[in-house]
Amino acid sequence: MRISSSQLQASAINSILGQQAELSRIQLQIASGRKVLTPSDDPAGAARALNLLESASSSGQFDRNVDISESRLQFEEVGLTSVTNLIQRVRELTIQGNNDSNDSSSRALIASEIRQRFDELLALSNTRDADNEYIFSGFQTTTQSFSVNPDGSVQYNGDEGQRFLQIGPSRQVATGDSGADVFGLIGSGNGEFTATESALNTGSGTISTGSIINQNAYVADDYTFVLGEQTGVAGGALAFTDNVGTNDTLQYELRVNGTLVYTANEGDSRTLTQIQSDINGQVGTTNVRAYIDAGQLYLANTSPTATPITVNETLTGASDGAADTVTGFFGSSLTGAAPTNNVVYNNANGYVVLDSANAVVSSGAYTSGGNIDFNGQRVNITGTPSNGDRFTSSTNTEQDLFSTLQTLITQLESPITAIDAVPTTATLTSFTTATAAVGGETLQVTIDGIDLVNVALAGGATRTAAQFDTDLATFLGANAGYSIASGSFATNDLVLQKNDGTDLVIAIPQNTTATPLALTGITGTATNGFPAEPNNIGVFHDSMANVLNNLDRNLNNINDIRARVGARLNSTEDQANINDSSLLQVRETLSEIQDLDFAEAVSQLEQQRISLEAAQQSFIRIQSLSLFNFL
Amino acid sequence: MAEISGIGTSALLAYQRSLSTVSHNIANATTEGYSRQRVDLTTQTPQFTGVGYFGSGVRVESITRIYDQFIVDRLQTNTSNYSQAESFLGLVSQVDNLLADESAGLSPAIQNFFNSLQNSVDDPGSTPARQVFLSDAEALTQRFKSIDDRLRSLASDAENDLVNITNEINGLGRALVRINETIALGGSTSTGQPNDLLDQRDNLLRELSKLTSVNTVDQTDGSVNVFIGNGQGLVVGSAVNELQAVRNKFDPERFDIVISQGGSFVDVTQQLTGGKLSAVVDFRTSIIEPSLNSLGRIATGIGTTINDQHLLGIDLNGNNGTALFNVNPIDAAVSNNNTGTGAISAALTDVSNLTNSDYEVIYDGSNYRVNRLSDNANLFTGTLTTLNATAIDGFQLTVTAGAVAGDSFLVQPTRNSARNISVLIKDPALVAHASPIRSTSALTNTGSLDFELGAVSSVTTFPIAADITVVFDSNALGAGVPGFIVSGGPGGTLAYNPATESTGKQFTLGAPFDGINFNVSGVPADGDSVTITNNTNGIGDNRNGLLLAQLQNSVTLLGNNTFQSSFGELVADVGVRARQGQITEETQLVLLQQNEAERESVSGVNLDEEAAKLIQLQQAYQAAARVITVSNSLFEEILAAVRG
Repeated sequence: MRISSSQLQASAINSILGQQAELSRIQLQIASGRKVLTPSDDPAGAARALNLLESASSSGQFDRNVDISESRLQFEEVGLTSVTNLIQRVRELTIQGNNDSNDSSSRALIASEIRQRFDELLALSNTRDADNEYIFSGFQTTTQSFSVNPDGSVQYNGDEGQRFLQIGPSRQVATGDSGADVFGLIGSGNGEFTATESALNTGSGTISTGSIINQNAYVADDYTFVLGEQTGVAGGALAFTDNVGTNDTLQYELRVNGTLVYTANEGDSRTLTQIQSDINGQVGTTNVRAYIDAGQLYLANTSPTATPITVNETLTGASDGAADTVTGFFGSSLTGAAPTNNVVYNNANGYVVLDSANAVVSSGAYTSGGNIDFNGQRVNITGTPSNGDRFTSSTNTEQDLFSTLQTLITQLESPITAIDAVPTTATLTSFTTATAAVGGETLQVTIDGIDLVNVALAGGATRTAAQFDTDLATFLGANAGYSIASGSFATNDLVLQKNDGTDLVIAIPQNTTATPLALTGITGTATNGFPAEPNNIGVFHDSMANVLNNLDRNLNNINDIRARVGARLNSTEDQANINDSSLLQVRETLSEIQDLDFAEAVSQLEQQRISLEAAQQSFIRIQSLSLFNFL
Repeated sequence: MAEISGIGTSALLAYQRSLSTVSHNIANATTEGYSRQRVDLTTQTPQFTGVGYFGSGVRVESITRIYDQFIVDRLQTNTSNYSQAESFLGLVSQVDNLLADESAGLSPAIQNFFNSLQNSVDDPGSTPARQVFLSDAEALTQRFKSIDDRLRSLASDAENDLVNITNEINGLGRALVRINETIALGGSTSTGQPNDLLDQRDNLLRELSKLTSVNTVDQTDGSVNVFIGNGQGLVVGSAVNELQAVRNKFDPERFDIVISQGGSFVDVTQQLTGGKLSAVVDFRTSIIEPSLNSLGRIATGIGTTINDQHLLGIDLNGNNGTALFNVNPIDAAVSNNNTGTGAISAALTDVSNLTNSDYEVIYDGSNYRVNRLSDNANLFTGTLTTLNATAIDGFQLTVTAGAVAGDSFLVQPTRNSARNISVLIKDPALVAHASPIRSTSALTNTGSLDFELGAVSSVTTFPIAADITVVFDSNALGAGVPGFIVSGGPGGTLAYNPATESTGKQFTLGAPFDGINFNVSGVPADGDSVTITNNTNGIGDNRNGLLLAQLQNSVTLLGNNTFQSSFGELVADVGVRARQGQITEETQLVLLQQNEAERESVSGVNLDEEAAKLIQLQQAYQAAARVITVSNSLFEEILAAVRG
């Protein structure tokens, strides 16, 4: 092909220019260390690089969030650890305080330490972080988490909010727990209900904490366990039959604690339910209430301080002489003129469970420590409860840690009267000199069954107040535990005291001899030695047990939260690792897309340089070739 | 003797001419577009004698340029193509470089915005963190503006180029007319071709073909008619149809190219293919406008989605969130050429359906047609009423009656979004990180009820007027049908059976409280209650902030794109274009160089060749001179013989 001179030059120069451009590009790559100088070098790679840089930057941000999460969680963890230690200490103090060997002053000392702990707890609950924000206030971080009301109760001012942080592309972690979760809203007792005994109980029965045995059957309500008499009266009806005729005036009378509750005539009949309402119609007088459950009649004192229940069945009126036989409710078979069946119930042998509407939900025979199961829950009552003793199982209004501590303080600071018993007293208000009318009558007055006076008086003989005082002195000399609080029979203002606080029964048994002396002149009032302060040792122990239970539950709750915090810390740690490895991955990929292979680039540069030199040298050679040189 | 002398003289003259042509060639060896010339020699008419024809010497027949029309035509085409490719590459590289800078691109600004949002969400009560967030929001809008500015300044340069190119084409047209006239004048004498003028004309045509594609039609008088683009006559006879750059009917910043044809102006902007002109137009429509739209789409996307979520939160003062960004509304313009009175406005309906295109609305007298300009798809044809009720690609038009046939409107959903986005909130306390409501379980609850509020939606007006309490009752919906009794708010009941649904059930309250959702799980006891209250003092709440932060990775824009991947798409688009431009440029360069080599091969001057010719001609000239000397000595011989 024909070549023009300018073509020869142009093509040589073009090739040199091309080589130079390539050389400059490689040089630029080496200088910047990047393979991709503009998006056009690798459009897909450039877009990918942007996305990767975004990922890298996001990962960096997530790492930052992880750090913040960790520091917040660790800060919370420190607070929770302090609370745990505090609860542990309070728990020790509670066990120490529950010890019977403490007197009230040592209990007060323990209480004063718990007061300190309470203040510490309040301070812990109002922990603020480095930003001066309350960490246990939920979302309301500038609101003090817990404050003390004028009445001493502690109030939560925050909410249940939890702050989440984004620690991964699709992962959020809670970086705190609300004060409600940590310190409050914790059920006392078993978490669902609290079983307590009545402060007025006279028996020795105690109730267990109880548990839910069937969540589905569980019905939350306030239940009362009434300990009373399982009377053995079941089902059926009273049949009052006169086998001979109908002309007589024979009547069946049912008395409870001496009060007539029902009278039946011949031909009458009565169902169990009717009898129940007959008995309950006289509750105001008898202080005895009847319950029916499972076709079984239960009797219980409405007042736990009342005496044993006496049920009396009698036939009265004129019989027609035939064998009129009546089977009474309480198992007696009454035959003949004026037969009597007395039943006295002392210790409770049965229980009735009432719901808040006073409807019977369960009942049974009482066995110490036996399971009392109803509506999905179970409690156990142990010991010897008195008739009329009551226990309650009430639905929890969730009790917070503060209330638990406050309860504890109150309990510890209240006097326990079972140790410093309130003596029983009997006060004489009127005394009339006893006089034997005929002679030979026996005058007997007993105190707790022990004779104060037991003499036979001659006709017209008297027993004066002064003599009674002498008798009393003799009695006091012979029986320890009794004393004269004040006054005397003579001055008609005797106050007799029984130091151990148990019942003081002054009786004038009139049926001990054939001709008892009618002694009507001694009247007075007796004050039983039940604790004036409703805090006997049993209640104290019960409530201390409850406090312990509550403390344990609070501790468990806080341990749960600590476990959650720990799990969150672990998961943030995990996420940090994931973030780091994904960051590494991203950087690697980014490097693959963008970064220059220096070895390759340098060798390319060298190659390019050599070929450029060659092009230049050949250009010079060729350019020097011209025919004109030879002209 | 006379014959010998005459022959020698003719040879001397012929070789003189030839030598001068060789000298001309040597002199023009580097002249651009020069075609080497050749002297064609031929024998003089022979003299007839009785013995036959005697040659009577040599004469110059013609001086021709060595030239191949086919190669020259191809050279014009390839020059045009290469010039287009080269100019386009030059233009697109500017955008490519603009987007290449990772630190100056949009991506780091978006990332910083969301990072500082995260930091602020981490610590929602912190005013400094909120302040940094607002500053980064401001920086983001500035970044939008600066990229937009740079693109627009490139666009404005391109517009200037258009005007300049138009003027250049007109100038070249006029020069071609002049040279045509000169050639026609010389050509009419039929004394051979005016070689150098033809070369000059070819040069002018080549210059013109750098600007746009050129077609020529030879005329009998030696002049050529010049057509550019798709056959628009630029030079016809002795007339130049001048091009004019006129302002666009919608956008006065834009120029359209018109050509006068028969007294009226015809828009030929899209018809002018090839050359630098086409490169500039192409750059404007395929690079700048989509880039501005794409950038604007991201701005509208971020602005709208962040605003929507921000409105759902409450700020540090407990007030409802306000718009964080001022987002440019969708621009809809009436053509300057419209004769009717129809007005147009547009509203955004769904940011995820916005495209990078502009739209044209044309009224044909009975129907309105909406065309998407990027792919010329007809999206809608119908009446005004239907048009005003149809959402198109994420926006909704409202056109008023009064248009007459031929009226047109232009809708630019995102063209001006990037430059007009701004931050409305200046007070850090007004950043709405908190959610408007919270729930509180009653302290007396005994069951295992777990109640969790979901994200609120805008259908409910917050704050709520009074607390809403939800109480569980095993007979809420009639005996044995458990559920919640709602007091306050919408009231009523919600069925929930703990026996079968304790793993969780989703609820939405009744209207107008249906913006409140919650999830309930666990086994509540009768009477257990949860109260939904306004989130007063919820300074530590970051729920709305988290939702804001999550928008970074949400697919919110068309094409399954997040904000950042959308920008990546733009970068890749431009990158691909630039890459294509590079490849085209390289290919066209090779073709052009081959073409030039072909032309040079035919028409170029080879100095060695000319030197050889020079020697040859010199020798011939010397020989011819010898002939005259011989003739002279013969004559002398005769004279001497006569003198005797």
